[in-house]
Amino acid sequence: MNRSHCKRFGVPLSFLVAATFAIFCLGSFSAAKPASSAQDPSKMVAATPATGEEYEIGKLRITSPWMRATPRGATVASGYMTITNMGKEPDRLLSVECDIASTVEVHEMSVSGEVMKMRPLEKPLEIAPGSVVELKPNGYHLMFSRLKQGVNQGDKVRVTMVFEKAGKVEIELPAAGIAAKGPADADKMN
Amino acid sequence: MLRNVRIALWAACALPLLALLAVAGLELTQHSNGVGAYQASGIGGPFKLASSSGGELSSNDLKGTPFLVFFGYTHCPDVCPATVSDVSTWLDALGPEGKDVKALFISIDPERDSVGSLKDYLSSFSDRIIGLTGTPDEIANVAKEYRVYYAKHPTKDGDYSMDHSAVIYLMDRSGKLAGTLTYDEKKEAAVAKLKRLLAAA
Ligand SMILES: [Cu+2]
Repeated sequence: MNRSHCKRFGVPLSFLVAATFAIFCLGSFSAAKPASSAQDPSKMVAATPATGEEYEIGKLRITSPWMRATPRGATVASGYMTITNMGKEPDRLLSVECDIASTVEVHEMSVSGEVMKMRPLEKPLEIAPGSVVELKPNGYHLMFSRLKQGVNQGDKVRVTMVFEKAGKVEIELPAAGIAAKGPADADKMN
Repeated sequence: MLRNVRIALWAACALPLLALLAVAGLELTQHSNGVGAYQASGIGGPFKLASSSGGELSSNDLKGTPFLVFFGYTHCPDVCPATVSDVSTWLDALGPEGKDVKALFISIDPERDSVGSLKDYLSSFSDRIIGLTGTPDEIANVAKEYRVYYAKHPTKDGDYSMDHSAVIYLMDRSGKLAGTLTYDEKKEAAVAKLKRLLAAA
């Protein structure tokens, strides 16, 4: 975005740009942050709420999987979850499969100015030792493309994820309503 | 090594951020009288597009009507459905007293978004949201008037996603920009802005 374009929007956009930029920067760092600085994974485990699904596979823990119901005729959907690596070695998400979509990839949503961009990750998603990687709206997400069917509120969408070290895990993403903002909205209706 | 990389990355993020803050500060002093900044913005302009509620909708039909307008596409996995459902929530919260305000969702993906697919898609949301699409030229024109950026981004499987501006414009009865909402605006704040838009002459 060039300066003159920016100026036409006046004050609010400049703030928006600065703020989103700041959030974007902070967000991209938290994904790869070592445990020492922020979240201690052993404490995370103890703090995991009783609600919602939770999966443990090798040294990985997957919590709060969820997605949104899709609008009528939608061809794409995104899925979210939190992945914690409690081990001493990095792990990587190699592939994801799901019956209701032709392809599932990890994408990253980003905001630059007020422009939204979505890109597939160029390398497999890495979960560094001791780190917590969040797949959430406006960030990393599982991208379901060429949906074979719509997702309705209350559905549980089964997904197979293959990690380099932890191996294969089958998880279910409960579908929250179309207006849901987070996994809590998916729990509410269960 | 890792430490140096991290410092470099922080610096890479911090520098443009500081620059932006400086710009923001400058503009704040230039346009401290608020409303005037918007009126000078020149956002908006004439259009005539195919409507999901049948026929065409033109900017002439909107004379004297406050409206909100945003741009997106139905093959969008995340931001667009979230925005459309937010707008639905705000309209519901406004209730009957807000019946005057119109809500327009303009597709920036006219190749895939027909009137029919827009209608289908929007049937999952508030029936007050009108979907608009047109020829690629018509869309390019309206996007330009509203200074909305959009671009096709091809994906591996031969499909594409769209990069696009996710701002929501509030247009007053005279067709001038009265404010903006962001896609993650808090409900109370959004509803308050819509009420102000309705109250304005
Ligand atoms: Cu995506």
